Amino acid sequence: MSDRDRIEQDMLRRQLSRRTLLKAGAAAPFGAAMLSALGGRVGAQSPAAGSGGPAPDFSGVTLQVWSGGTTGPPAEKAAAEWGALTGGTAIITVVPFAERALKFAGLIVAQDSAVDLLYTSGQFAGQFGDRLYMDLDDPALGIDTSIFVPATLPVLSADGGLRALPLHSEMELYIYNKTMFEAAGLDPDAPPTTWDELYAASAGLTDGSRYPAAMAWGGAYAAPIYLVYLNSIAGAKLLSDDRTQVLFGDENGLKAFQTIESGMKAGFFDPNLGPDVEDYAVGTMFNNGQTASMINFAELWGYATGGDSTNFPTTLQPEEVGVAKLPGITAGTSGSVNGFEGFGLNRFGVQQAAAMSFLEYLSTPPFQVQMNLAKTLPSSNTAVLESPEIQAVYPIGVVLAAQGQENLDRYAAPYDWTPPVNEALGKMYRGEIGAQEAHDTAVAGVEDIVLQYLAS
Amino acid sequence: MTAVTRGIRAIPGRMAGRVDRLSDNAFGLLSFLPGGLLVFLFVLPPIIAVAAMSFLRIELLKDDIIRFVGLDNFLVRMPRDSAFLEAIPRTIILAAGVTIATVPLALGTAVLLARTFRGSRIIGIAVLLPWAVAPVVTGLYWKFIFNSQFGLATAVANALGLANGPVKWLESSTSAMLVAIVATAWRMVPLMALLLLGALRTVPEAQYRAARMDGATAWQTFRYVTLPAIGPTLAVVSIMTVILSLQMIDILFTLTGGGPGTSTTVITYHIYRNTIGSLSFGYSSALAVVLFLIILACSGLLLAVRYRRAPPPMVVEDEDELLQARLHVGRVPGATAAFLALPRMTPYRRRVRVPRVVGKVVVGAATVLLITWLVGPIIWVAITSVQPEYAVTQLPPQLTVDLRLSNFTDLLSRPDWQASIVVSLVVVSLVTLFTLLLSALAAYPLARYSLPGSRVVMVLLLFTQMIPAVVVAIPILLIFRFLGLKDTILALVLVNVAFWIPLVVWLLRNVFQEVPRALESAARIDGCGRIGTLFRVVIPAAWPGLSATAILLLVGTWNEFLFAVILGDRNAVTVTRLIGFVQATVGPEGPPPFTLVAAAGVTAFLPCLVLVIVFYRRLMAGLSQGYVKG
Repeated sequence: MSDRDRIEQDMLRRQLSRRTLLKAGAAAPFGAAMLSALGGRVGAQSPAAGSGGPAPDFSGVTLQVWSGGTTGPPAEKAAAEWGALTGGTAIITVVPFAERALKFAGLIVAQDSAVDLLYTSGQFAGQFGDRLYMDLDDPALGIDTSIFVPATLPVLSADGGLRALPLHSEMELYIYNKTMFEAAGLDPDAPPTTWDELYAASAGLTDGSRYPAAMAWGGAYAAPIYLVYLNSIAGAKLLSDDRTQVLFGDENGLKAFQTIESGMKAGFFDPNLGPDVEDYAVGTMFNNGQTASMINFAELWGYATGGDSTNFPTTLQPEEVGVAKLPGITAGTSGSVNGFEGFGLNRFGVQQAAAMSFLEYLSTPPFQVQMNLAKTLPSSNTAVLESPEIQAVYPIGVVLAAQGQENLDRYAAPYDWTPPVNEALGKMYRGEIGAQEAHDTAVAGVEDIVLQYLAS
Repeated sequence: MTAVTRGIRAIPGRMAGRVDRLSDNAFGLLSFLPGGLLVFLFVLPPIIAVAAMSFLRIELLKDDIIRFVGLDNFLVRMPRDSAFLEAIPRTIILAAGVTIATVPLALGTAVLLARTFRGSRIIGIAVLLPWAVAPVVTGLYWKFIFNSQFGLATAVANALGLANGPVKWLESSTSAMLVAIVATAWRMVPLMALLLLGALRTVPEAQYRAARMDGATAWQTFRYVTLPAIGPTLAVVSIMTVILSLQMIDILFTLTGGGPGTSTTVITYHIYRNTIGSLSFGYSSALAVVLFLIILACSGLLLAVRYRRAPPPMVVEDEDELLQARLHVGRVPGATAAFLALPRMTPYRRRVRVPRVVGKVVVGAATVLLITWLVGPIIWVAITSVQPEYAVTQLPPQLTVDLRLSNFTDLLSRPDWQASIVVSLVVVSLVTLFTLLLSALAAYPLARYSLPGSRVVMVLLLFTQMIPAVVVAIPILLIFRFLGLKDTILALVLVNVAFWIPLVVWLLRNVFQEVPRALESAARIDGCGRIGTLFRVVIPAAWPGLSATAILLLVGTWNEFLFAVILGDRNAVTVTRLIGFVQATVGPEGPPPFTLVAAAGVTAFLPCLVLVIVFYRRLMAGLSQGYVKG
């Protein structure tokens, strides 16, 4: 019997008692006990039990939940389980990415209460902030945020409050082919920890048509990659917390550009990747042996190791693929960007107690364990990620937890600062300008955008 | 009694009798009222709201403060908005590029369609297909073709030795803009070709015979006979292309997303970013007003060309008449220009005679290239939809005969797809029915009677087409939410009917003007009432134009995206939107395969394909005759 089957059966067997426990406000000890059994750290309070009293009965309540595509399947599963526990109904509607901004803007304008829970990413939290999402930092809500991967919380905070709870963990990691690393004379279990060290190994990792590293460089992907570098510098910031000041016009901002340029000159990055190359396509390249490593989201590890056998004719064995924290500009540093999603409460919603209950259920350790073991999405709970049980089936969980201690900020703002940075990086990538000019034009462009925002 | 009116001499009913006793003005008003009311209720308020908001400061992402700022949005903020200022030249480049690409290609397509040869029907259907592809899907098609790693364009460039490996089509500012131009022109060429085809058919055959008699070459005939004759329509098509390019956003949305950087961010895209991304409703309304004024200027130019008294084509039936005309060239209206342009008037120019074979080869090659460009993307996406994923994600593609229909069966077995197909069919049917009915009622008096203010009404109707749709989206949402109709089929029907009516009234007015008044007079003399004359005489006589309009409505409504997004949540999701849902489904197996997205694109396109094939002749006849002549 697989781990997944075992856990699912375990969940089914416990369903009735779990409902009773939840109603008795005892889900926290249950979750803690389960984590203890799994060997993880105890300390996760069940949000459902946050109020300390019995979970209310939501019979007859129907929640409308707007989800993203990635969060849709686990949200569906959670909806079924939450419904069984509380008697309520949660209807999950996937709002496609292309429609999301338009639909969410409509909610704000219409102050629409028809939707109770909303998909949230760092971008959406920063963009819509308190105009759409409730503040979950409110002590009255009693949410224990210490259970989450630390770097996720600042990302989901905006306008002085926490706007959502992360459903899962997702961030860029360094994923590499161990065999190729070994052939290049590198330690396959301990890849270099600085960019310069990696660049120095470029020649050994290059083999004819293969480049040392692939990443989705161009277009909208460029700016996040820049943040991978900037976020690794202690104290460096792109924008101020209130998003009214441009802070990367200093030497840190320039250093990040220069380090990227060094990598380009060293032949570290595959120069053939265009803006239409998305993270998934980079994963395909890695899977096909067309690159020795990739800077990519954690989910691509899953695809590369057999998570998508239909579309990946060649499958790498998990032991062939190394995953590590991203290198830093100096030794001992690392930075990344987040790619996780979560849910927040619609501030115009009128069923907030039930909505809160469902939101809390999504964060409960039992559900998070189940979600992670089912290989649907990695947990947003540090203890779950680090637990031996999860590590047995999802070995990169511990890397996610470690990377999640570092800065993952994507600097979401109510304005879009990325075009000038994308453009500057694109020109630098094509060799049209150097790091200094790229830095200067990017800073000037973002300053202009911020000024216009302030003037509005 | 004429044959036409025989059998329609039924005694008018009480209602029809009252209608008959109405004055022309009263009848015109009564007839216009139902459609006009819908426009008044659902089209005018959002537009008025946009105009009013342009004088306000509304920054919903910052605060709830709404303040009157006068002209500050125009005079203070806009000149400082570097993104807007940078978008202006890009907009001009895009509009100019699309026009330069579209007009000659549309003309070439029209010339091709005008010929009758074996297989001409198939080619006619083929070249119409891009028009039937939804704009959002068009972007997806071309994005797939210009994928730097394994796109068809990349494969072709490699095969021709122009590239070695991936090609960064969409990464470079220049090539991204070029791809955007190519994709936009691709969708515009068929419709413009039909308009030009209508003009081509008005050129008297005798002029061509005269040119041949004078020994003119094919090129000279085209240059000196065809082009002068279709000149006004060519100008109209050019200006229409500019106007449509200025409003275009859907294709860019899915193709380039305004990038790389901001290199394809044109004014409409900038408006979208300010409206939806920043919720700067005041400022984005001001931007929309500016764009409206630009389009208005272009439209004024169009109307000037349209209503300029063009020399009526000389109708000569035989050589004798032609000779007479030649002898009295100054007296025959319209003859002067045509004859002055004939080759015989330029005896001193040395003729370069291209051998017929070479000419045929060149024309044949150009035809093949044109058809390949028009149909190739659709065929490639169709092929992709039945291939295994790995076959189409390699460079070069490794196509197999292992064709799979599993993507289609997968999609069609999904409950959401089944439900959406029903929703789309219902919406499309009702929208077509009601739009035709209400527009016909409104267009008929405008075509037949000299009603006071009718010109103003027509201009106002035209104005409604000039506002970028994205800025009216939010006001529309508020209206339908207020009415409690959000996420209902009724909302989709109402909004589509209301927004179609202005355009369709324009089209049908032209169609009705083509119906001989004598038919109506005969019917009236025979005792047929006004309503009876309209439904039993005028509408049957105008049926080619009406049916072409119906197909236009069916395809346009099926492909409609913006209203479907803003008004539909769960119960009123149309098929075109579902393509976005397919793309959004990122589960443990990763993003959906390209082949599945391609299958979704093909599935959404299939009904339009069927319509074009089945009603090809009506479409050609209606679109190329009724609209152009009016």
